[in-house]
Formats: sequence, C-alpha cells, structure tokens
Amino acid sequence: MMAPTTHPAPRLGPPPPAQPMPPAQPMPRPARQRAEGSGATSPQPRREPGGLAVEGVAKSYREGFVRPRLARALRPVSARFGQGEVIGVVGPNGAGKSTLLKILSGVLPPDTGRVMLDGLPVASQALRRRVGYVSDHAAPYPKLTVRENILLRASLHGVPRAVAAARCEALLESYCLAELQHRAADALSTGENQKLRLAGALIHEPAVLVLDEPTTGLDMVAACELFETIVQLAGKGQTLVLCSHAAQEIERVCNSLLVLRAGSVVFRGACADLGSGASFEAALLGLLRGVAA
Amino acid sequence: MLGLFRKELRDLVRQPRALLAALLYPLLVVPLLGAALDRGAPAPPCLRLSSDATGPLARAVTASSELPSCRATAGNRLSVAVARDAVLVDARDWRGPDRDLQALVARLRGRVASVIAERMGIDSAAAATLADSVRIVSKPAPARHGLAMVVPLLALFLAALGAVYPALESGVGERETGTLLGLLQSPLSDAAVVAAKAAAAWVCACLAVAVATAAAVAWLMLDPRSAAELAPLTAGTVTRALALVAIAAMPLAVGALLASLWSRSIREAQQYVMILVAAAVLLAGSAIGVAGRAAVHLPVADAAGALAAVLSPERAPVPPLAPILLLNGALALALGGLTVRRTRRLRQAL
Repeated sequence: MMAPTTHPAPRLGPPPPAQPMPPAQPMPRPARQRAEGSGATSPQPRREPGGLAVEGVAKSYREGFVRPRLARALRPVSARFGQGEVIGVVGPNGAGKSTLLKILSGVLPPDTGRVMLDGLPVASQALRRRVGYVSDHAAPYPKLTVRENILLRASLHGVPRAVAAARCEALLESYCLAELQHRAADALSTGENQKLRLAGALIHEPAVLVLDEPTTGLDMVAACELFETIVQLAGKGQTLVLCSHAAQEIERVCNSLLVLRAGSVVFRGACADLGSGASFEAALLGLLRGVAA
Repeated sequence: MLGLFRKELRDLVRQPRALLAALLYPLLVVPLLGAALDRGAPAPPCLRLSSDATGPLARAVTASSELPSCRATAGNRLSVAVARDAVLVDARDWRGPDRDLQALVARLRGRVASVIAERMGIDSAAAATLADSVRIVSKPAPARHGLAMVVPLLALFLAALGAVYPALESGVGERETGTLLGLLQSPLSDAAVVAAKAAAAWVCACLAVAVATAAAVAWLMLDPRSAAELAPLTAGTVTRALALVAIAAMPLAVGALLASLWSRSIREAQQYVMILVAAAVLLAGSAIGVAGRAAVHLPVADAAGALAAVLSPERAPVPPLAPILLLNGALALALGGLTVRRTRRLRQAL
C-alpha cells in the first residue's frame, strides 16, 4: 500500500451548502500539457453562461426493514457544470458518484438542495427533458429492436414522430447501428448495446449528457470506439458529465474534474491542475488514497 | 403515456411466458380439466314409473311447453304417468333449468284436471283431486355441473395468472433487466408510468379471462345437455359478462403490480403475489364466480335483469353481487392507494 500522497489539492473538503456556488472552472489544458498526456485532443470548453448546477444537494437511502436507518450517499454538494464543459466525476466505490449523476439527470430527486439549469431551479421532470442519461445499469428493452428502442425513447420524451424518425436515421448512421436496426437489443454485443444507449439518450437532443461508467464491460476496441464518439460529442460543444474509474479516459476526454469522497466534494478544478500523463494519474490516485486513508 | 402503454403490450406479446399464461394455457387446461371432471360425474338415482309419450297428458305437456328452454332444446321430454292416486312426472330427461321445470309442472297442474276429465273419463271432482297430486318423482339429470361450476373458478385462476405474469414482467422484471432506470429518466411522471403498466396488466388479465371463458363455453356447448344450461350467446350477454369479469379482474391486476413494485426480484414478487392473490381470491373470486354464472346460466336480455337474476337465490345460489362488487371496489381502492404510496418511493430503490 502506498502512503497517502501529499499532493496539494486545490480545493479540499465539502463546500458548505449555504455558501454560494463556486464558479465553474473549465480550465482548458495548455496544448503542451495535452501533448504530454494521452496524446488525444480534448475538446476546448466553451465558456458560456448557464449550464447545469447543483446547490447543496444531499441524498440518503433507507436501509433495513426491522430497524431502518438512513445511509447517507451524498452530503450537501454544490457544483457547477458549465455549458460545453466536459467534467469527469471520480471517486472510490460508494463515494456517491452514481447518486450525483442520477440527481443531475433527474432520475433521483435530492433530499435537500436543488438542481439548476441555465441559472434557474428546475424540477426533476423538467430536468429529465433536457438531460440525456447513459448508464451501464440502464439497459435498453431486450425484446424491442434497436430502432424501436430509439423511437420509444423519442416517444417518451415527446419528440414528434416525423422528427424522431429523421433523428433516428441520423443516429443509426452515426453510430453504425443502421445494419442492426431490426435486431432485438438482447442480440447485440455489449459494445453495440452501449452505442444503442447513447443513441437513445441523444434522440431528444439533450442540453447535457450524463454518462455513468460508459465503458464498463467493454473490450478495448469497443471502449476506444465509444470514447471516440464521446470526444466527437464534446467537440460539438455538448455538455458532458462523465463518471469513470479509468484515469486515462478522464484525462483524455475531460477538461475539468470533480472528485468525491464519502459523499463530499474533495476536489473541483481543471484536470491540468493535477498535471498530465503519469503525474495526473499519480495525483488522482493520491487524492483517492488520501480519501481512503 | 400512450407510447409506454403500447410498448408494454408489445413487450408482453414478444414474451413467450406471457403468451403461454394468457392464451395457450386456458385453451389447453379447460378441455382437459373438463374431460376429467365429466368422466367422474355419477348418474343420478332415478325411478321411471311409466312412459306415456303419446297419451293425452304428454300432449298436455307439449302444449304447455311454452317456456324458452322448452323451445330451445328439441330433446326436452317429460314422462308422465297416472298412478292410482297421483300423476307422476318423470323428469329424468328434462334438460332445461329447474326453474322452468317447476313452472311447467305448475302449468300442468292447472291443466291436468280438465285434460284428465275430458280425455280419461274421470269426473271433475276426482280429476281435481288428481291434479293436486301432480308431483315430480325423479329429478332432472344434472348436466356437467362440475364443469359448469368450475368455469368461474377457471376464469378466476386464469385472470390471476394473466394479471400476475405481465405485471411481474412490467414491474420488477424491468428492475431486474435494468430497463426501469432508463424509463424513469424519461419525463413521464411516476404516476403515469405506473398507470400505463397497470392498464397493460389489466388488459392482459381481461384477455386471459375472455379466452378462458370462451374455451369453457365452447366446451360446454359440445354437449347438448350442458348447452341447454347456457344463456343465449348474444353479443349483449357476452359483453356484459366480460365487463363484470373485467371489473373483478381489476384488483388482481393492481395487486400484482403493487407486489411487483414492492419487490426487488421476481422471486420476492411471487411470494407477495401468493399472499395477495389468496386474499383477492376470497373477494374477487366470488365476483368472478357471479359473473361467470351470469355468463353461462342466465338467459337474460338486459343488465338490470341480469343483476336481479344474479341476486335471486333460487336462480343462482351464489353470494349476492352488490356486496361483493363493493368489497372488490374497496380492495381495488386499498391496493390502488398502496400502489400510489409505493409509486412515490419508486425511485428510492434505484
């Protein structure tokens, strides 16, 4: 076991919920540092007003039946995800990453606090109209075909039929699913399934796309293809919130980082603040191990 | 919401288990069970005194045969014999309902004095005494009462089966396959999601009951004696019977969906369903039984007449309909309330 690192984290500890939200820091990494990193070209974040934000959101789960107790998954967390920004959410298991992402996508209502979109508080139902959510745990309907799955998502989001059909064609082409469109989802490979989830999440053209561990279970080739797709989306200015355990993926795609520990934010800043390449991984690991310690 | 409802039905249609439970199972089970029950039906004890098929009393009986069941069944026959001190009616070959037989004998009793006095040369005082003595000495041979009684029970069981499987698949099944998370990310409200699922489960339950009832009625019609007990299968009768069954199937569908939403796995949901169905059978079963009897036994032409007939103990000796429907309604409301309460916590288990 390595000793906890003494890496100087720019911002440690959970921000108090009552305090004003820290401004988004979509610091673009210098070109030199990028070259030293993964070698991929990360999209440049767009500094535009609006975007997604959480203010003092907290979430607890009820556990047990005879003697129920509340397990706190997320302590009051405040963060802002600027428009066009690609944010990586990192943390050890049980840190509250998935819970935060579910709150951001409107799947889970927070116990306290609020979610804001474009500077205005928004209810969960309205939030779900504007956010796309891709998760390893959110499977497509296995008995429906690829096309039916995408069109169902469109129908659920209230996209008009003609518009949905046109978007569906475009997405099928973009994600190489056109040949598989009449195949049932349970006959797809894991990688194809993940593409289907991504296509389904984009059918209503969301303002923000939330990806919860999108490469889980994928082989190297499929993961690489998926990341190319994510990079393309980021290049188009799509706001992305990405949760992953792979430091290389985070460094390659994201331009800012949110590190959670035991339901609290322990770091929020640009990826460049943690260095690049090996130093980035070491710094991130240090943060996480420091968390564990 | 309509899109989700359509998806639920399409999803269920593509699942062999649901099709098997809702359609194929009743088509197989009803004839098999009917044949098994029919074989074991014992012949009733009967004493045939004499036959007077061409005599004046037989003609009197024929002339009195104005009841619908007499006209409907060509083979209806009463054997009437004049004994020393009584007119004896052998109703072993009677194929109509008991109620019609009693009415027929009453008519016969009214006419027998004049017929006997006229055709048999008996003085009127003696004929009147004889008329008072008309009685049935043998009861009608029961038709397939076993199967006739089991039809409502089959309808109940298949309604439960038809409701439970789709509800389990659309509730906890979605949780297990991981599709629920994606569904709950859609802008639909939780209430709309649950309502669409409940509607789909209810439609499947109604379909299962319709198929089961149709199979049972078709089986009954294969035998003329059983067919005599059937109501005329008009569109109105069938529609009313199905409507009654559909109302009674509602708590089953809602209860199964509630159990499904309450559970984290299909196995857990099945355990809840066993408890819920056992309770629901006590109440909904009676209502479905009433509806089933109304469908197969009562030759009624209007809904009010059907209700009056069902409530009449001599016509249909079953528990009264109104309290059962009230209890069913209360059960559906209670289950619906619990479902709404559960719906509020639907996202907690994600």
